Amino acid sequence: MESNSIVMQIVQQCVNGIMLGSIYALLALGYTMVYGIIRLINFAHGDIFMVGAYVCFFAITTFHLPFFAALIVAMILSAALGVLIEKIAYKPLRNAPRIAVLISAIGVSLLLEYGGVALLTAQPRFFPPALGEVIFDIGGIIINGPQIIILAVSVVLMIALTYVIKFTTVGKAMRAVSFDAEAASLMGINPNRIISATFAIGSALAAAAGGLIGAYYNSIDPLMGVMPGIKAFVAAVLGGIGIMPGAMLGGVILGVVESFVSGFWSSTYRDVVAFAILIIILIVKPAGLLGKYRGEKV
Amino acid sequence: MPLLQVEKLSKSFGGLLATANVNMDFNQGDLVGLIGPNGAGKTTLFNMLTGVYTPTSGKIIFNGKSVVGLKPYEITKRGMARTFQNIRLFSEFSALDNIKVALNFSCKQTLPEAMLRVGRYYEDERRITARAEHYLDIFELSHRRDDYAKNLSYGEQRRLEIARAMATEPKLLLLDEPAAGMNPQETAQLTEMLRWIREEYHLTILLIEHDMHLVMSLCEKIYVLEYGRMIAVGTPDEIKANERVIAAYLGEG
Amino acid sequence: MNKMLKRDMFVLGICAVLFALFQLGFTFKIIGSFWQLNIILVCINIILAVSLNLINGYTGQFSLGHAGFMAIGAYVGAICTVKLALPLVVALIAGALFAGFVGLLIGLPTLRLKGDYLAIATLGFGEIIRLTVLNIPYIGGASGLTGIPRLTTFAWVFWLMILTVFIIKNLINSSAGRACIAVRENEIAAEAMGVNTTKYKVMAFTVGAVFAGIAGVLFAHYFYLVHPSSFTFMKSIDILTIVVLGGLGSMAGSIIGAIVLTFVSAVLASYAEWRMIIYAVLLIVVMIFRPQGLLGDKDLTERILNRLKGGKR
Repeated sequence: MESNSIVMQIVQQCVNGIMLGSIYALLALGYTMVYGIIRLINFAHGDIFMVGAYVCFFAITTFHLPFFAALIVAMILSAALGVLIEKIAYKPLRNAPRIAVLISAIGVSLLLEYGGVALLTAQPRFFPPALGEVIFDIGGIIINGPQIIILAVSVVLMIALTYVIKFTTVGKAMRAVSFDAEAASLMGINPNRIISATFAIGSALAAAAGGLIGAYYNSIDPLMGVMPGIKAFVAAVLGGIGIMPGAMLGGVILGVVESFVSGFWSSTYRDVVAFAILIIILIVKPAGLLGKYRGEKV
Repeated sequence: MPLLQVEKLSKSFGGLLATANVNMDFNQGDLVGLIGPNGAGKTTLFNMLTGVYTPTSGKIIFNGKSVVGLKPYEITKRGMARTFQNIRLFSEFSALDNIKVALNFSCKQTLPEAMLRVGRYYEDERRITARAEHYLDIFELSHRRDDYAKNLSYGEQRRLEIARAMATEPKLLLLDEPAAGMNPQETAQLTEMLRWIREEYHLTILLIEHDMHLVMSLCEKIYVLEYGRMIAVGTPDEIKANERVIAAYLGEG
Repeated sequence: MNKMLKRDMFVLGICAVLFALFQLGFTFKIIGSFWQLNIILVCINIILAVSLNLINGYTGQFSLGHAGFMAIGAYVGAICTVKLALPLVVALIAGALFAGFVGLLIGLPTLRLKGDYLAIATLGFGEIIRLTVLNIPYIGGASGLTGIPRLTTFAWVFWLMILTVFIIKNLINSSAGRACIAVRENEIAAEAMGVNTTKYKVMAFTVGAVFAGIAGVLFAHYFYLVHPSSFTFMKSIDILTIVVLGGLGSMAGSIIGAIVLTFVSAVLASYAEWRMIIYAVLLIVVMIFRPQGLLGDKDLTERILNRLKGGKR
C-alpha cells in the first residue's frame, strides 16, 4: 500500500499547498504593494477579492463570456474600484495619522461586505466549474486540472508583475515613491498617479485570485473575502510587509503549512494556524522573513 | 572615585560608526561640556549613557556600577536624568503634571489604592503635588502651574524640561542643547540657573551645546567630539587654543 | 480631599436616583422590554468602551482584540454557573481574573510592538481566542454554550458600570494613570523620567481586559447562551467604533458613544447589514471629517493616532 505512505501524503499536501499558496501570494502582493507605498494595511483588500469573484461570476453567467475573458473583465473593473476607493476613503487621510486611515480602511471593508450582503443577499451562489474537471493521478498523487490552471495563471501574473516593477517606468516610479515619496515627487513623479496605479494593480491581482477561487470551489458569497484577506495579510507580514518577493514567499509558505495542518491534524485548526504564524512572526521577527525593522530616532 | 567613567565606547549602526573609542570621566560636582560639529555623535553618546542605545562595545560605569544594558528608566532611577534636543514634554499635561510624572517612581500608592482612592492615595497625591510645586517654584514656573505644556513659551518649555529632569533627583544631569533657540538674555539666565542648581543640589552636569559663550563661561571641563571620536579634552582655555578643535569647526586648511 | 469626597457623594446620589427611576420603571413595566434590553446593553457597552479607551485612548496602544477578553470572561463565567453551579459573584470574579490573566499573557510579548504591528497582533490574538473556543467541545464548540441562567439584572449591570467608570477614572487620575498618559504622549521622555513604560502598557492592557471580562460575564448571563460568533473581530470593531465616535481619551465620550450606538444598533436590529453599512460609513466619515469624535480633543486625538506611525516621535 505504498500510495498511502507518509511521503505520498506529504507530497500531496505540498501540491495542494502550493496551489493555495499561489492564491495567497496573489492577494499578499496587493497588501504588500499598498503597504510599501503608503504604509496602509488595506483591510478592504480581501473584499476586492470578493468583488472580483462576483464580477467574474456575472460576466460568465449573465453575459456568457468565456472564463478568461470574464477574469480579465473582473480584473479591470476591480482595478477601477480599487482606484476609486483610494480616492474617496484614503486620499483625504494621506496626511492624517496612520491609524485614522486604518480605521477608514476597516470601514471600507465593512461597507463592501455588507453592501454586498444588502445588494446580493448573503446566500452563496453557485459558480460554474469553468476550469474543467480533468484529474491527473501521478503515482498516487492527485493533481487536478483546475489546480494547474490556478498555479499557471498565478505564476504568469507574478512574472508579469515582476517585469512591470523591474523594467517599466511605472514600476520604477512605484519603487521610488515607496522609498521616499517626497524625493520622488521632486523628480517629477506624480505620487497620486503612482499610488492609484499601485491600487489598480493590487486590486487586479486580487480580482484574478477571486475569480480563480470562485471557479475552483464553485461557490461565492459576500463574506468570502474575510478569511482569505486576513490570511493573505499574514502571508505578507510573514514574508516581510512591503517586500514583494516576501509576499510570494509568505503566500507559498502559508499555503503549504495550512495544507499540512488541514491534512495531518484537523481542518478546524486550519484558520488558527494563520493567526499563530502571525503572532509568532510579530514577536520573533516583526519585519518578516525578508525584512528589516526600522527603529525610532531619538 | 569618578562619578562617570566611559571607556572605549563605540556605537555602530550597520556600517556607520557613529561613536568610536570614546573615553570620558568626571567627578561629582563637575560642570562638563560636550561640543563638536553637527553629526559628531554627541546625542548618540547621550543616548548610550541613558540606555536608549546599547553600545556596540565599551564600558559605562556610573557611580561605580556598569549601566550598559540597563533600560532607560532603570538608569534614571540610579541617578542619571536628561533633557532632549527636541523638547519632549508631555503636551497634554499641565506644567505641574509634567513634573508629577517624573516623581512617579518615588510614589507610594499601590494600584488598588489608586483605583479605589483609599489608603495612601490622598496622602501620596498631596506629597507628589507639593514636590512638583517645589520644583516649579525653583525654576520660576509656578505661575504656569496649570497651563498646558504646549502653551508655554519656548524658554519656559526648556526650563520645564530641566525642572522635570531635576524632579527625578539625579546625581548627574545630562542636558542636550538646553540653550537652543534662546536669546542672549535667556541664555545668561540659564547659565546662572545651572550654576545655582549645581551648587544647591551638589549636582554634576554634562551638557551638549553649540552656544560657545555658554560653554566657555560655564563649563570647567570640555570634551570635543568630531566624527564620533574624541579629539580634545581640557579646560575652556586649553580648548580655545587647541588647533584640532579649531580645524574641526572651521574646516581643514 | 473633602471636596473630592463631597463630589463623589453627590455623583453617587445622582446615580442612585437614576437607578431607582429605571428600576421602578422596569419593575412596574412602565418601561417596556425593548428599552430594558437596550439599557442593559448600554451599560455593558459602556464597560467595554471605557475599558478599551483605557488601552487605546489613554495609553495610546491600539488594540483590536478586545472582544477576545470579553469572550474569555463570558465563557469562564458560564462554566462557573452552568458546569459548576456557582453563583454569579463567583462567575464575575473568575471571568474577570481569567480575562485579566490572559490580557497579561498577551500583553507581555505584544506590547513591545508599535502601531500597525500591535494592532494586527491584538487582532490575531482576539481571533485565536475565538477559534480556540470554537474548537473546545466541553464548552459547546461551534454550537455555543447554552443553558446559562439569566442572573444578570439591571442592578448588576448598572452598579458594575458605575464601578468600572469609578475605578478607571481614579486610575487615570493617579500616578499610574499619569504614567500611562505619559507613555502615550511621549514614550521616550516617559522612559527617561523613570517610568517603566512596558509595565504600564501591560497594566493598562490587563486592567482593560479585566473589565472586558466582567462585561462578558454580564453579557453571557443575560442572553442564556454564549456563542463564538458573538466575539468576532466585528465585535471588537463595534467597541472601537463607540470609542472612536465618542472620542479617544474621553470617558464621557465613550459613555455617550455607547448610548448612541447601542440604540442605533437596536433600531437597525432587523436590518443587520444596514447597521453594518451605517457603522462602516460612520467610521470613514468620522475619520475624514472629525477624527476626534464627539467629545474628543482634536490635538490630543492627532497625537494619539500619530503613535501608529510606529516611530516618528
